[in-house]
Amino acid sequence: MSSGTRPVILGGSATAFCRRRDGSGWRDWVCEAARDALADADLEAKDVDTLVVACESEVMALQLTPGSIIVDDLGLTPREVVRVESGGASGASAVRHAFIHIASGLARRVLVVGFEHAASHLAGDDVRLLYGLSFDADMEGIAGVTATALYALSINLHMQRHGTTREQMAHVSVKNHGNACFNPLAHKPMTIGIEDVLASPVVSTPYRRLDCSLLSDAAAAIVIAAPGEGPGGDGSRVRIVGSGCATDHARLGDRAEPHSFAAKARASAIAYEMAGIASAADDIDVAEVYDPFTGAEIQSIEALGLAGDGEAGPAMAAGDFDAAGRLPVNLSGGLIGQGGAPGASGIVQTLAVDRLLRGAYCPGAQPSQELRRGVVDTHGGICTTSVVHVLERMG
Amino acid sequence: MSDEFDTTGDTTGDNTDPGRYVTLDLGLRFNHPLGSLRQYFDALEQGRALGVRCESCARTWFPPRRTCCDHSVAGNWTELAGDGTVLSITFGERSVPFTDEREPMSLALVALDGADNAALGWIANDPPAAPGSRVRLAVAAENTVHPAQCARFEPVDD
Repeated sequence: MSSGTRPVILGGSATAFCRRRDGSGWRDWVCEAARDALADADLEAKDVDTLVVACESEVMALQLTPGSIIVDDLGLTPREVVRVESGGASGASAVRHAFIHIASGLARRVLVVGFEHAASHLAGDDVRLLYGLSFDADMEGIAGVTATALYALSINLHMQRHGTTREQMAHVSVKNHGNACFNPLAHKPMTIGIEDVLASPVVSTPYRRLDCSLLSDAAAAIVIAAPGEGPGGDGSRVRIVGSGCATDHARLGDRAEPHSFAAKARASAIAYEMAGIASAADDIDVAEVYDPFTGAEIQSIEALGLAGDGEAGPAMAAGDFDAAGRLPVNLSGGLIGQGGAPGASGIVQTLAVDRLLRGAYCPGAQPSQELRRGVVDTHGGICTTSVVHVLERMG
Repeated sequence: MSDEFDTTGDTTGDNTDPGRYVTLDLGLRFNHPLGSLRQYFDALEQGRALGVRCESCARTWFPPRRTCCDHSVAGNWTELAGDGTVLSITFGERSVPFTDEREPMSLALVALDGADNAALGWIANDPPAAPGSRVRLAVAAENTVHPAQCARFEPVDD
């Protein structure tokens, strides 16, 4: 697929990722994130043509059809609104829909908002049950299969195939929790060592507590526009030069290679072709990678072509993907350090790469070297739906 | 995101006002249909492995698929012996939805003999199974509310 128009990011904002216990609700967070995103873009609500809303679970929000509520809350009526959902990739899918709206010429400026109220208002068993239903509910979720167990089965196969080790996975946890220390939005900034991860309680082997990401409450918003539609010209803004989406069989056992993320390999190939990238490992300067579990970051790095098959684990342990490494991955802290809120995650990842490429990310997390091109990787299910974007700094 | 719920590191932003909450208890009763997979579930409750065979490519799917991976057509029911090999296994805890059942249990990905895909199934932690272990489909129908909750595998000596 080719697209002549490369949408430009005008601005964005996000709430803190945390367990909100301050009496506020998701409609408050959405209004806060959207208001701040428009201000960051130096726009008013009336300047927006279309609203795209991302939310994985309207059951958890206790609000069916949240899009029609949000468009009114934000003062955007009578503009078009569409709500998109693709599990953990919901926010990234919303960004992609904005891309499609702009590339097709249907809209000039699109506001994307995503949220999830997943962390603070339901009992743990209820949340576990509901997220179990996000896999094949009849075959797996109702039987008690959890996300952690499915990812554990997949990474165990990766370990068998490639010799990936617990220590290599623990390095992901140390890195991402540490990177989160510079991110004021992060849910779980921590300075820990490999031994802390290896000694944390077992959840589902090989995964231990510190191998797992967090569920967070959060909202995020981003304004995306056609070139030249932002105030003050495009200057050194960041544009989306590649967008890809692909799927895999929902059930792990139906896949030919359940140790790897085939949908991500396909989605990234589409995005790279659109962006004119021949070698991701050479042409990408920074990446925000979907890391619900430590091993999933290793599997994702390989699927994205940022390391060869079976090579991401050793490269991780060697520091290649550290903040000072050859290709920094998850300087935000990722889901493991920053937290995870499916409707918001893909949006806040996109914002992170946008700011990193402009040299405007959090002090302490912004690398000293110049960054020109970055990749944003998000997926839903056990990489059942994958969405990949390539961002590039203009000028 | 994962479905783990470690509360370490919780923050509530800048607002320290505890706010006001109301508690809503949703008790929803679903009459949930088993649909076109009813035969599979009926067999599962009897400890039998009923898969589907695609007549276009001769591949057999257990658990069954509504359509073949490569051919958008429904297959024909076919019964498998129920023996298989563990491909991957994870040790953890099983919490059975809609029941109070919670127990240490392993979840395995098992390739049944004669099937071209693999099935998820629960295996007791003792004796421990491992990749390559031979297992057989069994049934554990007590304290279940859905046939999918019956599927267990037991180790066998080949």
